[in-house]
Amino acid sequence: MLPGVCLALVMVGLTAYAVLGSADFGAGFWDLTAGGDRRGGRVRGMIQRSMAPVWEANHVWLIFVLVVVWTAFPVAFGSIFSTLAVPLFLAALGIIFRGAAFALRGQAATIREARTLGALFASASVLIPFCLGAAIGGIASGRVPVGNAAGDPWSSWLNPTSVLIGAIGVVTGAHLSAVFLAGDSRRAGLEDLVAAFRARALGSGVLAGVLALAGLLVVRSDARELFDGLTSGAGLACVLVSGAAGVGTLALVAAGRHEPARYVAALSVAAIVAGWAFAQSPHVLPPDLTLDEAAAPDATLAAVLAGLGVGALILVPSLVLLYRLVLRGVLDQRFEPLDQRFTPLDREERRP
Amino acid sequence: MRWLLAAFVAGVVLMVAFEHVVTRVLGLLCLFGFIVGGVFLIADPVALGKQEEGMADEPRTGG
Amino acid sequence: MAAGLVVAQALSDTLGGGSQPDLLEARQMQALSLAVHIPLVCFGIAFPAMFLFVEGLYLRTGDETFKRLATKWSKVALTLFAVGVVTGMILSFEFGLLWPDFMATFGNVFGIAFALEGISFFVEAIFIAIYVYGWQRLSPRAHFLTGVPVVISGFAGSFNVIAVNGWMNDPQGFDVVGGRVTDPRPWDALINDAMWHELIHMYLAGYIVTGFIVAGVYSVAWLRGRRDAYVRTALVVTLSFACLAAPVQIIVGDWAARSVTERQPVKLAAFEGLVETEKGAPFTIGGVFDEDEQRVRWGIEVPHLLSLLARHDLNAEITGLESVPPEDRPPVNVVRFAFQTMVAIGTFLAMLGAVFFVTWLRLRRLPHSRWFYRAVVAAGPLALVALIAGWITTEVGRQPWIVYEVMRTEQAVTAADGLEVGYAALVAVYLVLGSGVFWMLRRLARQG
Repeated sequence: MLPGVCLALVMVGLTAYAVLGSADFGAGFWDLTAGGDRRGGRVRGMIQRSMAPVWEANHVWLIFVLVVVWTAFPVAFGSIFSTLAVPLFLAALGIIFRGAAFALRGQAATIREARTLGALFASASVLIPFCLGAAIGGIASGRVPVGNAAGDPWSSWLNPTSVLIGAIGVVTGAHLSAVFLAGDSRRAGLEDLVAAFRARALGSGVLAGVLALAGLLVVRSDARELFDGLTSGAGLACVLVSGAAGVGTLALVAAGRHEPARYVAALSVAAIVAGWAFAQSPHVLPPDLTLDEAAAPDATLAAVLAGLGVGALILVPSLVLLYRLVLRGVLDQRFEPLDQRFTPLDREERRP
Repeated sequence: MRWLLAAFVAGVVLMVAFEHVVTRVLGLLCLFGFIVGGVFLIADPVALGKQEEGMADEPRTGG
Repeated sequence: MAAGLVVAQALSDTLGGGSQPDLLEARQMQALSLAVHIPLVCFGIAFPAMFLFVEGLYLRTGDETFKRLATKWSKVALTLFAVGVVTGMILSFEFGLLWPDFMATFGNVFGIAFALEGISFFVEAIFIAIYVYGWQRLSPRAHFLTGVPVVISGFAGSFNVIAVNGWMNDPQGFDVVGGRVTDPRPWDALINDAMWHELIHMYLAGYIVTGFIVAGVYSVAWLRGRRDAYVRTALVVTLSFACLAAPVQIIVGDWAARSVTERQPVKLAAFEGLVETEKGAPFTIGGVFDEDEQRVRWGIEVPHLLSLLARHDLNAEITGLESVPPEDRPPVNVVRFAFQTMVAIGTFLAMLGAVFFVTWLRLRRLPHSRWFYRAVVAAGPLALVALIAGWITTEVGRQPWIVYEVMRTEQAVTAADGLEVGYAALVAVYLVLGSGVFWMLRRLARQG
């Protein structure tokens, strides 16, 4: 029972990171493709404004996932990080760059500086979801054995399933962020931006759907057990919910109902994360390591739950406060179109 | 003021001369009291304002 | 500690052995990442208390200068915090990437501390965002109150991380049966004896490093002739914190040294380069430890001083390096040099602090001497050096153990190949990051 609860916590954290973190990553993608001064300025300004107050809090979910896994499932953790060292290390480097570029870019004084930072930000934003997705693919397709770097350092994450899941990760991130940004633009009353992000949300959503369907075919030939897990029982139920929610999101976005679209999009991600867990069940590291084998003794699991429980008493109200303040607009920064230097466009015009 | 110095000395004695949990805790409390009390006393807004007068006759350039 | 050694020999690799591990690269990578992260932690610990204090001055007087200063500082703190989050994430990844067997074996013993630390810094992230973005938007009192959780969570975060480091130096809360770690007792593990002096020492270090670095920035302004209320306030606040903490740090350092003497005598022996166990052991200032001759050369030997410092007794017996076999001894020169650097700088900072305090006592103002401000400018980077030196002392001093007398670092390391590439990549990334942060902080400073 305790192992299951801890695993569920990991899945919740992963979902939260997948939804909130990929929204951030996706923003990096749109940032890169926002275009020149006039056209791109408003898009960039919106991205900056939406991301600013919450982006660090978003990334803490990843730390949460890491910490619960290394405490509750330490052998699995050690095996995963030693075999999948390359993509995880690349993701870590990407996280450094992404964070630094986002924090620093407001200070760029020349277009070239800003372009460099912007490119760094955006490329990291594509690298990270790809690498993390590929790592997940490696685990799911049974390529991570128990042991210290016992799996192949390259084929464990550069294989059909991994590459596919990595690609889905990138596109899903782009899609989620476009959905969220459309909602933010609507709240800010910037209708031209709503249209811009709506188009992006629809395009990326369709692409994500296509990749997901192609994905099932790839998994069928590459990782048969995973395919079987996803197409039967609880796994299938989750896949269907995820698909339905994905279509629902597109419908809501097309209809201009952006607030509900956020939640339905989040549901789609949550469902597929759960589906992955069910598809692999009872294994944490297929084909050898089951949940019960991987789990730490009860004393530790109980300590984790107790510690997190107490922590949640402090954390949840704090998070609620933050998101309420954000949604009420109390923490909103002034929206201003930003040129590629992330200086406001109007300020530029006033200079002789 | 005098209390501040007394706290520091008491803290040092408690920390250095003894090895008990109780004297440790008391010693640390004295020392932290010294720091916190000292900050409030030194960085007092009235005192900060008064410094203006002391500064008025400072040479602005050179040195 | 004989029982510990038996345990060490008996602890088998949880994940199974691997090919020749790249141990040195792994240690260097870990050390580099820690050296980059820890200064940022100092700001996370101490800067919020400082800007909150200044906001308090504003609330008491209504003087806008205080508000401008607090606002400025909180924005810098947010940026540094963001970089701190990022570098901290690298550390979390590195625990798994570099030390998978350590994590696999002991994750269930100490892992809970990181769960608590994660929560602390999640809370810190939330409230620092509310604080910085909420200037003008929240009522003055509400705004001030949102700064309080930032200060508290800064302490809580360091509490939890140091708890783990303390545990690594003083392992408890588990048994080893048949080579396997069993019966993990997480709460026993975390509230261990070694952590208290480490915690207080690090917490004060946060204030000393932050205080002197920030004071150094404004000292440059002072030296250039800026004597307005803004600069003066900045100097008085930061110097008060740092200069009062610095002498206290010496006392805490004394406590730490005595604790190490009891718990990790071989580490203390390495501080000095003491080979034979002896009564009335000397402390040798400077010099180099000669591995072949097993003695310190070219140093200035002060008789009885080590016994006095370590046990407060001129003739106390101090354990030497010879008490354990050569493979169980840490690299003496690194530890010695780091330890003496830390103590030398710490002493200098305490004396600087005394100058400030005495000037204030007698004259009720900041010192006027240009040399004082030049010293403060130097004190910032020196405090940083002392900080890193201190961490080197304690971490390298614990070698060859990753968990003292239970697990060797070489047992913990990853079997994955090619760590040199990772190391090179990490160095490059940190260089780029470091220059970016430096460049940005300079811009922010220029904006006043």
